[in-house]
Amino acid sequence: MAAHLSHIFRHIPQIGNVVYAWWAAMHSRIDFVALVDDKPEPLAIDIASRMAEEIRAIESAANRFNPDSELSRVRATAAEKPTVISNRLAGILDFAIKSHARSLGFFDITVGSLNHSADTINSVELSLDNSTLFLNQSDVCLDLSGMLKGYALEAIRPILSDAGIDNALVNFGNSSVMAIGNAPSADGWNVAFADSDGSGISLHDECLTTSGNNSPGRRHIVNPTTGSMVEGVGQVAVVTPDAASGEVLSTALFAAGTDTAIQHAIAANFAHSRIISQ
Amino acid sequence: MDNNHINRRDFLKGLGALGTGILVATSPWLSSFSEVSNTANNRCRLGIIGPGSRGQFLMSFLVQNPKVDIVAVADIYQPSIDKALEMAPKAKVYRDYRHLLDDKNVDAVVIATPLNTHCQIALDAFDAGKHVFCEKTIGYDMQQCYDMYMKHRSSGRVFFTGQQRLFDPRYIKAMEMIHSGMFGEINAIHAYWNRNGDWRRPVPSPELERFINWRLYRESSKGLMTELACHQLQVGSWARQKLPEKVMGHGAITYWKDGREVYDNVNCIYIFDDGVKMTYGSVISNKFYGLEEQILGNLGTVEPENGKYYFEDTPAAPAFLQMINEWENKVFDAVPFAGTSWAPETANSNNGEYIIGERPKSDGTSLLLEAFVEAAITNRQPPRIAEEGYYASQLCLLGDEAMQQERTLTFPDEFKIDYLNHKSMPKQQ
Repeated sequence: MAAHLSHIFRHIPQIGNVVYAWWAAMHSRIDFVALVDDKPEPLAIDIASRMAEEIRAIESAANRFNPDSELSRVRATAAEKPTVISNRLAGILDFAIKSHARSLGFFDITVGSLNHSADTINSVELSLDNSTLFLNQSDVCLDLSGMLKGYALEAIRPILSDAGIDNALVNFGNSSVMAIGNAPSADGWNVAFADSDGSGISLHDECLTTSGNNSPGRRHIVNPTTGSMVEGVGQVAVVTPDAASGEVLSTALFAAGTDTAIQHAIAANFAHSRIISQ
Repeated sequence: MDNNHINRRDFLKGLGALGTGILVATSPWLSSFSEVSNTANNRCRLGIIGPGSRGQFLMSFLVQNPKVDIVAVADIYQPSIDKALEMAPKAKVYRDYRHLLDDKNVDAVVIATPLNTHCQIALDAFDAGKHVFCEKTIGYDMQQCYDMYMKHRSSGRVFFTGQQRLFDPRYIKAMEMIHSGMFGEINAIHAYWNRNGDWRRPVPSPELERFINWRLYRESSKGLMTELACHQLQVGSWARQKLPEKVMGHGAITYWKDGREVYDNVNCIYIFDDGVKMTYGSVISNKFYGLEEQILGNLGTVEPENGKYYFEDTPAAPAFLQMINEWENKVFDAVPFAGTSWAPETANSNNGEYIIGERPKSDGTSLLLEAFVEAAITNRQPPRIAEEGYYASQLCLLGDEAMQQERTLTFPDEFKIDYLNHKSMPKQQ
């Protein structure tokens, strides 16, 4: 069942056809704006529909909060024996596991496990050759939600390039933004923070990702090295070439807190990235 | 009164328009303001015919317009004349409107008399070469409305009607969004106006009852349809860019059984040629839901009175809507939306978005009058404004007729003019 898409389609002189489509996914809203040149409305909507379908597929593979997701379904058997999983889920897990070392342990999909330690990630045995998952330690909890939006943005990038869309902005829940090409009459895409004075940052085929607590009561990021929730209102925003890495970097930096030496060490593993605010 | 006053610059700014170019496609009558700076030194010499409560309300805006001289007033009721003179002390007073029309110092007239007197005054005014602003409903019956419109055309004089929503920023902006397809196909319009009150004015002595409370009697008014529905039915044809073909309805006096002759409880269904319906309901014994024109599209809902719109499922991001609007206006700014994740619960609530901010300053009356003054000075009729007023009046009169006859009535060919989906019939020789 495809997501319900709403859209606006306009022809703007000197800009061409413009589509804005939006829909709900992963408990958020996706905003997709593209300059589609002379492509007609049905074609533009078809592109958005394929994006929505891809995102839905990722969500149904990896959403741990959905008991019907593949991740939820295989979890019990994977704790007993290597269990065959889809290539899609295997790809997501592979990226997540590699992100652990890349973030010096500050991005950890097992952080919610009982008796979590820095080694817990090693209990997740993934075989890409056999496409199997084995959890060699009981009570391992896998939570991919810290990176799923960014991962999904990267998954839809080929849909856009195959469709010949060279200029687009995709916003996933306001926290993951993928900019492709240029806005009309601009070099790149200018994006501003909702709570800012309106001054923007320019994205040039880059992604903007934010992590943080937007209200005093909202704590959801755990520092894997201490096991405790990161407290207080604050956010980290990073610009990276790809959206999935942006999720890892921003989450890790927020979890690492104010230790600038650690932050620099983490950031060194993310080439061509910029830290915008902390 | 100042709260209702809004200047043109703020008005256009509030609509997000740097020029009127974009909006004129949706609301062509806004072109009335195209020569505003050229007319800075011109004056419009106005006569007010019927400065009662509505007439005084209109005067309160007109006296603030530096291009207006109210040079004459005509009424047969001294208290109204006294109040009018407080606002326009230099106005010449006429007891008979025909003498006001003979006054060569009057360029244009505002007609705010009881409904049954509009037509003759307007016809005489056009014959006298005056520009005419006539309160809605313009005519007492469909023939009168037709005669007034045709006289406007043959005289070449400017003709405005009191449809202030045409200049209400909320409505203009909402229509721009509706016409862009933002809310999908509009399949239904539910318009209503509910009040709780007897709709009476105090009468100093009994023989003045029918004169003061003319709205309550059939000989001078058609009640809720001509006084309230007229504003709201026009919203339907504005939104759909077409006119309904048929109407059925029922009206009755169900609560205020006090000797009045007009219905206090009406319901009409207007049907477009494609089956889309516009309903109109009004009662004056319950005010809870107030007034609204709910415009229902398959992608979203607009409530222009409330000033809000809603998308059916996930609401759109205001920042992205704004970005696209700005591109259309050749503005290229940063888009402010980024931040930490959307709170999940927001995805499930639908509180709607404001069409143009929380507290719009104007209901359009002051701008409508300003546009009339500009049109009178330039002697140029803005597109569609007379036609919108014409059909608003005809539709409410046809609805009243359908309720009177308790029959489904089709819009009579002989009263069609060349507008939207209507074509005028060739006249029999």
